[in-house]
Amino acid sequence: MTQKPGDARLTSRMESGCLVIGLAGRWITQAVAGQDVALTRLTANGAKRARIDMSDVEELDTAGAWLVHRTRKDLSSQGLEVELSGGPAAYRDLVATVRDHEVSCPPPPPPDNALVALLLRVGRASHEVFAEAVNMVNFLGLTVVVLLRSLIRPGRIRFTALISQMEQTGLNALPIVGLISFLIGVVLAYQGADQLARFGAQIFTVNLVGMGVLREMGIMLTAIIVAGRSGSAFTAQIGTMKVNEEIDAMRTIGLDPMEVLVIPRVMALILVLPLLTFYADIMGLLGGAVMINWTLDISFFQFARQFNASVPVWSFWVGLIKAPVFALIIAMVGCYEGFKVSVSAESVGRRTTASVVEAIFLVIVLDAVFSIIFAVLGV
Amino acid sequence: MAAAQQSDSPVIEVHGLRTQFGAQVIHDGLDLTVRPGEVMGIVGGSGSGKSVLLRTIIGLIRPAVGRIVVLGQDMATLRPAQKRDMQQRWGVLFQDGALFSSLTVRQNIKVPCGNTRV
Repeated sequence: MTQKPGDARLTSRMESGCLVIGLAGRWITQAVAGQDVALTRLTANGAKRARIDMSDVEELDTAGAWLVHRTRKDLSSQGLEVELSGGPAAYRDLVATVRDHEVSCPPPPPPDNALVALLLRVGRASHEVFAEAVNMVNFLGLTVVVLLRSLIRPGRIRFTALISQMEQTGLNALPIVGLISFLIGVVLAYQGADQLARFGAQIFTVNLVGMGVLREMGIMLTAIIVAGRSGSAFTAQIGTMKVNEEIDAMRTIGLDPMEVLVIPRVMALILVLPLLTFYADIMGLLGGAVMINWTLDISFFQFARQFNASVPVWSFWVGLIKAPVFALIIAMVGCYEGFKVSVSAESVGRRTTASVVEAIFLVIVLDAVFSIIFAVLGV
Repeated sequence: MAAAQQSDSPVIEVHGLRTQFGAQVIHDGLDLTVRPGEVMGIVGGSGSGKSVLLRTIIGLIRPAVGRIVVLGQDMATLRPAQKRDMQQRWGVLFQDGALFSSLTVRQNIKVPCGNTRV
């Protein structure tokens, strides 16, 4: 390290059994870092006394004074008698002030054993997941109770909010749901045609597209898109209101946030998701038909005939029946996560992410449950 | 405030209030009386429990011990319908200006009048 004239400089020498530490230059916050380690390495070297000489110090602030104080303390603990000398009296006053205000840092906690730390992490995470699940079931119950109460007394439903939510979650989602379903129909048809052509069974591509879109793809994609664009929006809207204490203000003047915020959103999604699913089914089939027409030279008329003959109407209902259940789960998770936002803008973001992940996870789990139920029922 | 104007009985009474979150006690043995026409300011350093006190009085936080009486009615013993009547008589504005951000100023003013929906 090069020594500029402005730096803090340090010399140490022995003078008849006395360790003389000479400080020089500027002992200020910007300059002292370079001498920090050198000061901690000072040892008694057989000396009985030590003197810290500050006569050549040009400038001293609390950082420098603290280093002087620490050096004195270190040397004292090695059994030396330490005195300060040189420089104006103000320097010694500053060192004394720093000494009087010294706060000792608590020692850092000892690191846990790696195995224990792992167990702790796993335990905490499991406990969190369990508590989360209990809370969510709790909120689901509350939502259902308030929902039924609203249905018994429809006068308490907020229709303006309901219609507005239906527009935002349903109407405004039409372009994205339509496009994605159409493309998935195209992909299914293309992959199916490619494989089935090896057996000369191209015509069964129609069955594949029909069953795939109606039973699974239409509803799943719609649910995932809605979870991504509406579930997250619910969390962000309610979360922001929570941060702004609007929820508290609502409670104070006797408005129930469940009735005002949650019910319109849950009802809107339950009404809208089946409609969106139907629309996605149509668009998916259309995409499949276009692709089949293009690659396999099967006309739309042939497609319709084969579709009519091979795909039972039940597969349409199998897809559609899941829609209200998925809607309830997506809206419930979105609102639940919104209420869990604490008073910081950062937690709105964290909760929104959690809301989407949980909603999609639950939708897929429920879809598997539905598959098992339908398999047992034989539909 | 008809009841309050007729007599000189206090508008807000707090008796022996104790608020705590877990083991952390915020208030202990707090008494407070606000009489009709009186304007009261509560002063204190940040984190000293001013907001907690106000939130406790308006029922957002449940006190551990103590009685809160507003307009002569003990908040703890009110039935839900009576509580709703009470809630329609008071208002709160939090420090960040938490009006309902989705509404216009006019709609915000109309909310307590019951003809605008949030």
